[in-house]
Amino acid sequence: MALDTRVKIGEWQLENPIMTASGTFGYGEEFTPFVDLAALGAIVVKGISLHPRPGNPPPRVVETASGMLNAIGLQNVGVDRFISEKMVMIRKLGAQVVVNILGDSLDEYRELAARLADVEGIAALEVNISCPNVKKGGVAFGTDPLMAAKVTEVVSRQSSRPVIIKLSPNVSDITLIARAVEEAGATAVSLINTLIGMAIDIRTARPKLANIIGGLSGPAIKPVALRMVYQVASAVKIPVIGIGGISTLDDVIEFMMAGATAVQIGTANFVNPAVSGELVAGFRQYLRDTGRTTATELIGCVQR
Amino acid sequence: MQLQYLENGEILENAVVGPDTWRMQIRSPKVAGAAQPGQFIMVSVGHETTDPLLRRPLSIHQAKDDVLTLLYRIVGKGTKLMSFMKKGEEVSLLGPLGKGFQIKSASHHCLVGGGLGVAPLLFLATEIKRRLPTETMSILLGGRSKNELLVLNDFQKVAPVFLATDDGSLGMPGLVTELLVKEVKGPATIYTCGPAPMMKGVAQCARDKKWSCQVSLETMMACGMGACLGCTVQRSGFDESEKKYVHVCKDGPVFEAGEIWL
Repeated sequence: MALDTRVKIGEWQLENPIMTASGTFGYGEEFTPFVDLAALGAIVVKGISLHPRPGNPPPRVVETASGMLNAIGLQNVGVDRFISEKMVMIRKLGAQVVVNILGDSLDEYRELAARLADVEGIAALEVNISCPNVKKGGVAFGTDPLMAAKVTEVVSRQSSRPVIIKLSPNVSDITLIARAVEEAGATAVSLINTLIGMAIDIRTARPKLANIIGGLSGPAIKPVALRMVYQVASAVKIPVIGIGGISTLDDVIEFMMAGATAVQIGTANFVNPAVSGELVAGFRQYLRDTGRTTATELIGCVQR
Repeated sequence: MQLQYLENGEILENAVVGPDTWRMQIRSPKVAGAAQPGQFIMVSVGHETTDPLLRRPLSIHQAKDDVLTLLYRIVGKGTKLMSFMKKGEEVSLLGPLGKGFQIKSASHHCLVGGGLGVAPLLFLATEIKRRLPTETMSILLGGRSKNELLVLNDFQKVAPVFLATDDGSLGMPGLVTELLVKEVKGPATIYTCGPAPMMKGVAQCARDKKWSCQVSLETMMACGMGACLGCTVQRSGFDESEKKYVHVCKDGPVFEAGEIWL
């Protein structure tokens, strides 16, 4: 029987549920020696702000047990150069492209969405309201349901494309934020962004990151992410995209069973740059091996 | 884009060559075949476990035919696990990565290494000799004491070697930068790798004499291929723009000294 690996985010149909996570896949081209980008469900490119950002001083990354902390600080070329340089290259990759945007104010989010509205080759926007590494703005939008809803509204109004809101796990009840952005018109939510953490070098008695704190990612955070995906999928009707330490096929299936319509592969790309393509192949094989014919029958099938 | 490979290599040798310092030889035809002096590889140390999670960046010590050689020091859990790997086992390599040394005709080539910073210099020396056989070259190596001066025989086969140790146990007592001032009189092109203070000293010396100087840097990095943006170093002369930082993995690891230090 024919295998249907497709999933839908609003009106947008993905060939399969495997995406790559923002900030872990560059602008895609870095991975072309290792992955056929057109075979992925979608790629999410590095977050873009209205103006260029230099990012944080080094050290920016440190490895921790089964994970890593990063405080990159949203280094990016700014939306103008993104459109004039990066998008020209990205369009040639043949991939479904999600552009991740971030701002310090509602006006910045509005302006970003407006600038990108007529740019060809973008399948969807992902709105970062949850990056923990910038001092102003970013995180406040992600932790306050009202502000999260406002960002969702201004971006949705400027964009005819699906709008995915990327949620922060650094809140007491993530379902409150998820419901707020759903009501405000979000097409989907993606979660989780990194968990805020810290590491200290005991020889120098200094934080290992120049930014002192950073975002924890990798297999270490998977159970937390899975729990939040499960809770959010139970609380909203819009699609949920699962993110957080996903490295293996088993992880992909777990997140889909918990209620994710699609998943994003993040830190695992650093360990094995070919992993996203391998997971697409593995996913097809898994459906065949388990006698399933569609990807969608997995979504939320976990038994209570 | 330059060629990069994910390749499972076969370990041909993994042996101690100095205090906590090991040399691993790997048969990896693709990576070794494409490697240039100064480039690096990301090596998987975890055997599919998640701790340690990330690959380790190591400079390419030598690449000849289909064999890649790494020189590494045990500094943490990852390199400790590497030292347990046995001849005949497979190891996953990602590479070759980054921009290596620029080899151009020069009146004299001078390689300056400190401690484990000698690692990329053997491949460089070999290639300078192969590509520019009529030009002169000297190799200056420094360490705290004589047992930190690694793989001397391999260097001595390629070019004249001059040594300095902090404790005077071998070669000239003192710093390798002093050796540079003493031994290299005429114009030279400098290539250096070692601890940052040493490289800064070498770069300063080169700048005073208006010699070109290439420095090979190391930093923490997650991916090694320009995706994580974690391996930043601040550029000289840029304060606030997206050009403020360079990335060691993609813009380097080898830089013109003036790009990093004024």
